[in-house]
Amino acid sequence: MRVKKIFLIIALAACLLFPVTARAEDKWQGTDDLVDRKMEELTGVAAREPLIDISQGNLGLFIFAAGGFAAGTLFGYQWRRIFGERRGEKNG
Amino acid sequence: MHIQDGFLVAKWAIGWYGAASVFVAKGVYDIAQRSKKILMFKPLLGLISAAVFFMSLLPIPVPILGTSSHPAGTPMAAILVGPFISTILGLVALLLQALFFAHGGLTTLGANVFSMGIVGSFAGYGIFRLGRKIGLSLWLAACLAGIIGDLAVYLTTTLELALGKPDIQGVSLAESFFGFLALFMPTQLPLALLEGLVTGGMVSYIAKVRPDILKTLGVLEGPDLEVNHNEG
Repeated sequence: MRVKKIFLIIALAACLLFPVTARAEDKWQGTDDLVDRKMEELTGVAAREPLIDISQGNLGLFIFAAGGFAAGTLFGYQWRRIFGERRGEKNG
Repeated sequence: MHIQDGFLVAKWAIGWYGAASVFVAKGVYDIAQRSKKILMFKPLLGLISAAVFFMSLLPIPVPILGTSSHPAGTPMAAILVGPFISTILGLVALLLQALFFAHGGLTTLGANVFSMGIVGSFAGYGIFRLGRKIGLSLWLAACLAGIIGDLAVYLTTTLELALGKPDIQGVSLAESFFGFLALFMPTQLPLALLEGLVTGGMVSYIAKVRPDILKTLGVLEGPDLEVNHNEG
């Protein structure tokens, strides 16, 4: 179990820390974007803008912050309900 | 992977919608049935739904390559709640991502649900069940399910893209397929391993903390819980 945990931590750390060594010129582009570009090259069809554009000003930040808060609260509440108490145990 | 609007010809866009709708209908029915029988099913569904949305949107940077991509999350969901219900969770995540994040589109939603929702769920679930049947530990079976489920999603997406625009500028189906596959795989292979680790870790964690949940959901069978906390 301990070995598994250490392996998991190393794998996650590698994902977070090693990016500084990346060689790609245009760093951290998503594969989705690479495919979009390839498709545009082949067919001339470009990816469309989102229906609801959240890239203007701080709108994106607002939605992420509000959504993150709401989701985190709900997630934490449900997590505690399900995993917070072991079977047969009760909280005081 | 999220296929954008306009990348599939109409017949394929409609075809994928049709294929996905059968699984979605069964998923809705299963949710209604299981919610009646299992008291904590809805809170659990909320948790897993959030996890699928998060995992399938999160761009994880891949060392050395300098690119990023995201896991699917549906193999893990399928192990826990079944492949049909997991398809619904994939649909919800993909719909929100198409509306708000320009990840995928509405005309291609059927194709995206088919690859991430259906193929990811069924491949993951099938591998997990097969792994358990041949005696693999819970962690290893779930880990393999995560790895193969993730790769199956991207193989399906590649096929959908190749089929979606037939005979583009004289490019054959095979050339198109391998062209898109070459874009995906270098980034996706390490992420599939990561998805396997996360899936195995999550299922093992639940087995350790609340094994009764896995028994109730039918993930663990038999009167004696077969969880080995030291396996690894």
